Amino acid sequence: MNLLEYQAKQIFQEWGIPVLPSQCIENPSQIKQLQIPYPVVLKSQVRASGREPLGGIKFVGNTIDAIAAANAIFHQPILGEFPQVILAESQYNPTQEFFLAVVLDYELGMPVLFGSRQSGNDLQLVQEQLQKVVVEQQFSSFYARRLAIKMGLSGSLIESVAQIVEKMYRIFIQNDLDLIEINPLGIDQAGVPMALDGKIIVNDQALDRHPELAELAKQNTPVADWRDGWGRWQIFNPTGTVAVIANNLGLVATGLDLLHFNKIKAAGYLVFADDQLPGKTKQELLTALEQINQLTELEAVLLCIVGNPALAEQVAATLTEYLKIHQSICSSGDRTERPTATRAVRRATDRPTSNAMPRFVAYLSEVSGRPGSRWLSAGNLTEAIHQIHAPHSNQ
Amino acid sequence: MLNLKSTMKVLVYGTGTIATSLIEKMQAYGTHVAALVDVGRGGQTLAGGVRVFDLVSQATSHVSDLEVALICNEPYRVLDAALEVIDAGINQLIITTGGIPPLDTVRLLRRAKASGTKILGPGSMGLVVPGKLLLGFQATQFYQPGAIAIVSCSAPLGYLVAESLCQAGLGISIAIDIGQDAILGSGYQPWIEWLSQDADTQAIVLVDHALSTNPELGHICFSPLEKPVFAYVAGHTIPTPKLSEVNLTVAAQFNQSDRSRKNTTKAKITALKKNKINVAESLEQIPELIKNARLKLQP
Repeated sequence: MNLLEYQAKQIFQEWGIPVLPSQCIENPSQIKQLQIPYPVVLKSQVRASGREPLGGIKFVGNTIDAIAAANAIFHQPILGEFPQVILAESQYNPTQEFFLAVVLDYELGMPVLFGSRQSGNDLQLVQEQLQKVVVEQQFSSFYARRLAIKMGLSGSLIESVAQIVEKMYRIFIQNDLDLIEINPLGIDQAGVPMALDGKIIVNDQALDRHPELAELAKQNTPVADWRDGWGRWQIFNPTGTVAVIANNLGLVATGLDLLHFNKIKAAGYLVFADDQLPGKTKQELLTALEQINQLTELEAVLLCIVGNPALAEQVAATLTEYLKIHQSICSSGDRTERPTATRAVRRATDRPTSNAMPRFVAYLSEVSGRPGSRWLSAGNLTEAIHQIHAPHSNQ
Repeated sequence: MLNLKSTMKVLVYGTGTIATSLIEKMQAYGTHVAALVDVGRGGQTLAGGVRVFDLVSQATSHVSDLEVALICNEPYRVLDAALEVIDAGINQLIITTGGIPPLDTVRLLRRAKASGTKILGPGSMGLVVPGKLLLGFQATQFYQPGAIAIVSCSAPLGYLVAESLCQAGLGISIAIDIGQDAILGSGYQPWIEWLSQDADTQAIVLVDHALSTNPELGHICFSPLEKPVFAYVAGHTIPTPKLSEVNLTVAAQFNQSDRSRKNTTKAKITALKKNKINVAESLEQIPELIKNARLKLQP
């Protein structure tokens, strides 16, 4: 979960990392109440990096310019995201700018400190000067000094930059972060550091034990994108014809390979955790089936539950119930039409006996098919794939 | 790795229906569950003579020779439970709970390394020695005893592999689920090197898939192995996910691009082949490859 710059800077300030005087603006008229003396920088609060060339950062010298600039920023989406907030901040003239970050390296299973004398969003430039220190044992300040010295800093800069890195590390550990980044860290003529931009990504698995961060995240609107409304589905091909539901990612991967070998285009997948409560499974499955049914090209849903009899039972029962409800809606004739008519037309011609529902094929390792249920039961995954396009007999 | 015996005494750390079902499942397979640590329930005795304690140190002082602990409590309490188990002197740990905050795992692994503790998991369904020992939640009906070891990061995918091997007349010597979390106590490498010394195992099948978060396989490098190793990496037809544009902070790019490059199925298969491991294209091909290697295995 990403925090926005102004939220990251609030946290920086709480931990004593220097930030510039700033103020949040929620609409252009609030510019008149600005307490910070001009000139100021107006910064669009969106999650993407590299906002300046996309019109997300503007320098202004007076109120009239500021209102116009704020108007423009509020109406300028950046990578699909409109800002809800603009951060108005004092201008600053650094003589040097550095890049600093602490990230969790999953491969090493250890936190890593990054520093570069080259800041900015040009990955290659930053990387040319990039230095790295792995925090192998319990953290102590020397790790931060080691990074500062690797970066080629000398004199009082070693200590002042190392102190910032140490604070970043403490924030990182305290809040269960995946990443904390200051880019750039400005240094003025007196050698005083200033966090000019900041990013924080909180680990989603740990979010529940940091209610204050969860609260911050809630204030941010989600980025609008075509996946909206898909819930937990991972859709990678909206025009695919088969969607996969399984109780494990490994099963999904195998199922997708088998579809590919059989020249069937997969649309996406959804995984049910093995250990969740039965009531939750039922509700989630019903929702998931409704969601996936919106895909216009969808012909079949492949369900694969292996090694979990309780979940398999639940899925079988829910599927049967779902199809029964849909059957009665269809036969009573008041079924709501799908978003596109082409699908209904195509189905009406291709499969005159079907009622425009996709076919449901299930491999449930401990549960066999039930007479009268409207889904197909398969004895293994390969058989299930073959049933996707098998002639209609028992549907 | 773990020192396994069919008679070994097991401690379970957990509560509620999850702990109960874990205990019952293991007991049904003949595993000796000797103690349960469930805070607030100390003093009780459960079916099968399982004694309940409030602290691990109480369990170890009242029950001799507890050799392995299984932790199945909720994710935010796993670190503390594991530290308690290590502190009480049990040095073999299986963590079935998944979704542990990664920095907790980092802390745990640091402690485990310092104390010489072996950890399977987090997010592992455990291991099974067919016909002899079950440690964890593995669905045992998929396994017939035999001489092929399975090491997977996905127990259900391991079941499908076991099923295809058993149907081909090849039994299983041991099946290990290394776990689903992104940071693990023990990955493929230590288990496969350990299995190559295991007297009951004649061949090893490594099972991985494209959607796993574990980046280990992309750069795996074994010291020469004494037994044939086969691998199946499911999901090689899945399109590589593009990095989320919004997440692209500079530091995330260093980290992620590096990770996703090594974590593609292609990179994994290349690394496996470099280690002279036979890679199967499909589930059905695994028993074929093993049989073609002209192994003289027991029926």
